[in-house]
Amino acid sequence: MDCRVINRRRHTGLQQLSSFAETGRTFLGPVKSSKFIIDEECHESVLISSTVRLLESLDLTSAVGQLLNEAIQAQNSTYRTGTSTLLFLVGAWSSAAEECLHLGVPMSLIASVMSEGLNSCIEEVESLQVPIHSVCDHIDSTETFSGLSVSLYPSLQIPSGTGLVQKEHDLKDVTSQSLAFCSLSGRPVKSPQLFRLQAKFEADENISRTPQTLKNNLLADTHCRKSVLTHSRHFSRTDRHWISKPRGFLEQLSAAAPKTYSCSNLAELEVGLSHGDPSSMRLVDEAVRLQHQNSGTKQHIQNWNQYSFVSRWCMEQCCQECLHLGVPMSLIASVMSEGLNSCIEEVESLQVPIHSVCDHIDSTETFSGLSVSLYPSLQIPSGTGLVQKEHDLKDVTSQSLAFCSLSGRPVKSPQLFRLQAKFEADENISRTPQTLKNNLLADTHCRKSVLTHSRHFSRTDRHWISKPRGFLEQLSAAAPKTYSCSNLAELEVGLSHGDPSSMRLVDEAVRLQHQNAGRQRGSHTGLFPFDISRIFTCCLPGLPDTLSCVCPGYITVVSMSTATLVKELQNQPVRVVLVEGDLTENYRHLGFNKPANIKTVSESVKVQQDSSEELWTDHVLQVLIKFNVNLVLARGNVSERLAEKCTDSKQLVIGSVQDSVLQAFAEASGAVQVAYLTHMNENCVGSGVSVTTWRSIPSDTIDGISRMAVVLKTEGINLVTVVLTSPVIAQMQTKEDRFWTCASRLYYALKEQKVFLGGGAVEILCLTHLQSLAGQSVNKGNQDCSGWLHNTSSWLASSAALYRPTVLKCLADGWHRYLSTLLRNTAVYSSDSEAATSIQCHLQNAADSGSPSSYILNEYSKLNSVILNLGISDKLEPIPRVYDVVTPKIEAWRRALDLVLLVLQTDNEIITGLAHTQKSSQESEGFLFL
Amino acid sequence: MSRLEAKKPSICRSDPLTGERARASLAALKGLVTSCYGPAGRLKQLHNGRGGSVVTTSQSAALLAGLPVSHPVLKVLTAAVRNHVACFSDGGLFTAILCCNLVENVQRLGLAPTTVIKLNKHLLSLCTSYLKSEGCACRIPVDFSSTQILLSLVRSILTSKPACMLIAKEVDHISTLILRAFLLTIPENAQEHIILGKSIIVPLKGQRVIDSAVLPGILIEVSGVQLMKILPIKKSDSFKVALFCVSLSGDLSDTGEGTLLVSYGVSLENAALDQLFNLGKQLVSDHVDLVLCQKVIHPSLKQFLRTHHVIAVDRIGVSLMEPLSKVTGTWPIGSLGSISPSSYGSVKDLCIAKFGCKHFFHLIPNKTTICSLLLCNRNDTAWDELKLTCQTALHALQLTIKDPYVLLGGGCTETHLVAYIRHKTRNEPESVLRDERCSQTELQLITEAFCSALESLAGSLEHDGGEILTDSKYGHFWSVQANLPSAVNWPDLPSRCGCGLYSSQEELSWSFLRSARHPFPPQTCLSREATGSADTLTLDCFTAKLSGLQVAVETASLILDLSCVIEDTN
Repeated sequence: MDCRVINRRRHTGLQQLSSFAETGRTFLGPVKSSKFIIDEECHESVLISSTVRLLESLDLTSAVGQLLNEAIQAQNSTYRTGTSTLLFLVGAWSSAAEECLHLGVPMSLIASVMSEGLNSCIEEVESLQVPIHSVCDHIDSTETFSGLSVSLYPSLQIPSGTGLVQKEHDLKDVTSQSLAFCSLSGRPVKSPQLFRLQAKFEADENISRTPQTLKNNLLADTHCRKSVLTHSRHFSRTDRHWISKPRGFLEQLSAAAPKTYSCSNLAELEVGLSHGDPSSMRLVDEAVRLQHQNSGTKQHIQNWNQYSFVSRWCMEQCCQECLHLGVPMSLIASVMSEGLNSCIEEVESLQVPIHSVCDHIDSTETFSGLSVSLYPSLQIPSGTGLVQKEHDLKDVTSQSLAFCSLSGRPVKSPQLFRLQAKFEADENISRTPQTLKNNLLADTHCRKSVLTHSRHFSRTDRHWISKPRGFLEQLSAAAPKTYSCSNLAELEVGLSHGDPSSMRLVDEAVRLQHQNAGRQRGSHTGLFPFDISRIFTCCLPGLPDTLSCVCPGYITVVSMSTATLVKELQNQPVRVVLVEGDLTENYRHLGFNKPANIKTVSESVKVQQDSSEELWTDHVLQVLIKFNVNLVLARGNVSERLAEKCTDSKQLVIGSVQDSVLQAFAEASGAVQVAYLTHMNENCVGSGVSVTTWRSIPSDTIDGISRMAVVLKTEGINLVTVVLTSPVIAQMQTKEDRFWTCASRLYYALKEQKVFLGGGAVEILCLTHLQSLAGQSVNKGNQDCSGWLHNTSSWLASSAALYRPTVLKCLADGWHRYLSTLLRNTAVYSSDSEAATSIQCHLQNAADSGSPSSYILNEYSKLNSVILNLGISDKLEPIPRVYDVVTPKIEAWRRALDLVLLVLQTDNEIITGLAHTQKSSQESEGFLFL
Repeated sequence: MSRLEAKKPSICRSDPLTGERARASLAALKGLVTSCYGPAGRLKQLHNGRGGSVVTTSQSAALLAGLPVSHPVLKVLTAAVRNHVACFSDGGLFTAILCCNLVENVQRLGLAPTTVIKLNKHLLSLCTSYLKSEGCACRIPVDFSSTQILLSLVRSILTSKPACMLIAKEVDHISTLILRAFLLTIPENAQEHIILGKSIIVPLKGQRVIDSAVLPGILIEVSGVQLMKILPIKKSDSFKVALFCVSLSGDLSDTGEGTLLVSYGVSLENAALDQLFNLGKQLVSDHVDLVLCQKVIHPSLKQFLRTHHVIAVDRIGVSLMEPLSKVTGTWPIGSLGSISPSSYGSVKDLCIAKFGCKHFFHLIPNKTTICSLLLCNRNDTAWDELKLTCQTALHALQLTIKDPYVLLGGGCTETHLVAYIRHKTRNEPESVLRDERCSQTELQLITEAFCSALESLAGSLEHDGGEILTDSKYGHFWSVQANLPSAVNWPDLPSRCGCGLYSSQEELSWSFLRSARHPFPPQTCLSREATGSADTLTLDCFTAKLSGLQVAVETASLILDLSCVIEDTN
């Protein structure tokens, strides 16, 4: 045994910690740079973009490295989020502790003051917690508020391109929409002044009733369906009950909308195409093909290849454009891909009929609308934008028409039509395609400005926010603690942390689960638990991103050889058996010891020809046939021979099924899990499972064998499968990790019923708080000490006042580094000094204001974005309100500090089991032997 | 063909203590244990240097368990300390440091071992008889009508282990839990012989410390999968329990050596399973509600039991068997044959609880002296340390019930004892000199060595370069900042002594701990008011410390008495 003194002059443990932590610096914040880790021996490389994966790939055999790994694994396995924060703070605070040691602060005092400082911070930031008020009680109503989530990300920074004209136009829009809404709602119109207002706008417009105009008009209206809701919020001061009442109707509308995408629509689209420029045409053409494919043709693979080609092509264009505009490099990747995603999502709306299984297009739209507002049109390739709009035209038109016919309120509809017609007349003087297109462009442009301007209105007139929830727009520091979040979509956006695509999937999964829970219980009352264990991810590498989706039931990949079997099973309820172990002859349950010394002897030669496996296979088949079972789900491996034979006799056998999936099927189908098929009885069989083909997977992506994905589900199964696809296979793991991170964030937010204000607000409050504490102790002297170092009669307690400012300042420096790295990583600032200046400015303001927490709350509500953006007006993109989870975040801080303090207080490293004779004299320097 | 080799002769080394290596090793060990001592002690990382798990600790139990020493003197020392820790849990570092100090101090004197041993023994008996006497001023009788002293004891133990990484709030929480867990193990109607129950520590790593809890009864961890298969528990006043310690997995019992020939068509497995089903049928006909098995239950048997509304929980593990058989009143069933009805027991209630990410099957017995302490901490290292500390605290409480006293902690007992011994040997040396037949000088030298060993033990509490003072009234321990100008009149004195009993408001005079000064009689007889006034004292377990003192002195004598080491090199 030997032992090494690790704390002679410089604390090597702390140094190791900071150097490990440095490797994960770029993972902090919403914009993460990926890393390639290359194994020099076998030349394998991994693409990673999370702290956990990074540590998996690092050599952490040193004691400190192992402690770090242990801390991060513990955080990850408990919360699945907060590991980057943990790693960064470990680095920042180990440097801070080292700095304190250099300054001669006694070690015990560093540990004690740092720990108390962090606790004080944790207590302080409670004021930044936002309660979540039963967001899930109104899941359905939020669904109809698809526009609300868009409007909640307001921007004070109006793009300079939009002028007064737009505003006017917008106003009209708003008015007509509100009117439309009022009439649509099927209730007596309560605000006659709206009509008057509308009439005034109409005065100078020629009335034309050509079908084309009408259609266009309708388009304009329904087009802004989302905005309608936004703006009716605006009007809701006078009249709020519409929120609950017309819900059913709006749902009806949205349900009707998808069904109107039909072949006639497609034809129309193709006519429209002849006017487009080549680039747009290409994309639209592709979209048409996609739809065509979805309606049943067999050209999947080819189409997908081309589709991804188009995506790539778009991406290239975007990148070039952006580089010309001088967008910071680090932003390009994320913004571009989001921009492209939103394009693709828009195009995807053509595919709605395929998704009719899911019936949740509404929520998807919520999110796509949102991502549009997140990533303004400046960065959307012009070509695609145009096509989208044109395509929108038809969609929306038909939607509106559908609505008219479906609404069943003929009295109201003509009125609406008339108003609409009047309103648009001044804009559609000529009906040439070109004008139409321009018009449409203007209109869609306005769709965005609607959102912007609605903010504008709300500034002068804010009570629509402040009234119901007591928002702190009053700017008085007295009541700053009334932030709340009662909207699921808003919460999700806040928690997405720069990853809207993953959050969109989480959103869909939550909604699916909620619906299912509602169906099970018959009512939506009570707390809806978001059950993360009943969400299952299915990774399909090689498929385009756009195929990522969420479906009820279980989606898994089976070999193509079962295709005909699946087809046969498709139209009938299937009986199922669940196997909790392997499905092989040799499998025995855990704890069963098979004696090796038993030999079977037999009298006749004939029977010996059948191997025991064949006998077993036959036996299993007999059992399956006897109980009329067509589907077997096994947790472990499945014997290949058995699988083959089963396929021949029309039984689908799927192995490697997760526990939670088996359990979900057990609950929904009434099956009981068995260990041995040969021991099963009638009670173990479940029924009513449906097997359908989901889609085939291109053969070249997974080891050359062609496979297909199937959907298994039963009535009311509490299981949601999230299909994750990525054309880049190396990104698959990252995508899955990111999905789970988003899901866990939402899970903890819903579980705790509270979130933090994110985007640096919490950290800056900590920083301010620590600085003021450090200042206080100088003034106050000894008085606080007894409260600080509890029950310590040591001299350290009395001399703590001397050192406390130093230690607290070092701790605060850790936050400072965190914040400036966050700002640099999000590309808000290009240099550390810029970031530092901005932080300093806020700190000064906060200190001057007297109450840092209310200052931060005020800043936050003013800006509705990352708090440190203030003062930098050339950043145009509006950033939504960011939230963060409470306990995982605080625990990450505590874990980080615990680790640093553990290492700090360690003075000896004892290495066991190494005979000292094995060491050369040089190696053993610095070692003591016992 | 086997080859026989002649045995190597044993190596005999005389005077094992005089060598350079022995001194260096002893100094290294002393440095190791000394730096761990007290609430500000430094931590040690133990690992194998090849990526094995890392233990961060400052406790003797964990430290010495992972410290394979090679030198025979160190082996004696560590074995003695580990033995002490095994019996008393607390006071391991105290013992080790005192022993090292004694060996080192006495060695320097160069006196004959017999004299040293004799006098050390005498000084030890002086200490123990004083500590056990009514007039002892560093001992407080425990008032069981209030929790104050017991909580202080637990809190002192918790705060002396910094690797637990607890903040003040968490220390309060955990010490309350420990006390509650301890109180739950005391039977309600105590007769003459109290048999204490048991607190089972249930691990829940990765959660917040503040989520720790104490529950009466036994928690059996079950996996999520297993849990889903447990039936909804029906309401009942009492549940009939069968507890198996034999495996019900249906495998064949030991087939012995050689090959077993089985003729075609005969399945031993099926035969074993049939036997299990017969057992199951008997359990069902005996109206058993709950079957618990230490090992594995065959899934088919489980299914059979479930269809007959019997709850089956398997893989309980050997550590829970004894408490289970105690609380349920069963005798573990060890055969698959017929079960005698007398071996069934019962529990009052069953429920399923979820803590953190783990599911537990919660058994609430009729008369409970067994409770479960669900212990959480953020990481594995800190959890392991916290678990050991909690066990120590629980053990200390049990020892305190047996011997209802606590000693003042924070170094005050040591400095007080030193003052007492110095005074005693200076003023009444006659009896010693007559009994032990030694010279006055020898007595003075040995007393000084003994006292300075105790003093530097108290001084080991300081790790950040502070100074230690002692007052001339009570002989307590006071800690001050280093490099203060004068040793007589400090303007800004420490507010309280090490144990927290006395405050500097009194007119006291101080001197440096290891400075030469006149022996004084420390005030004996602790006043009741003094103990009542201070709300948070630093306290030590009486029994453990007393034993530690004895073990240290006796081990030091043993080591000093070693004249030759015979090592078998084969």
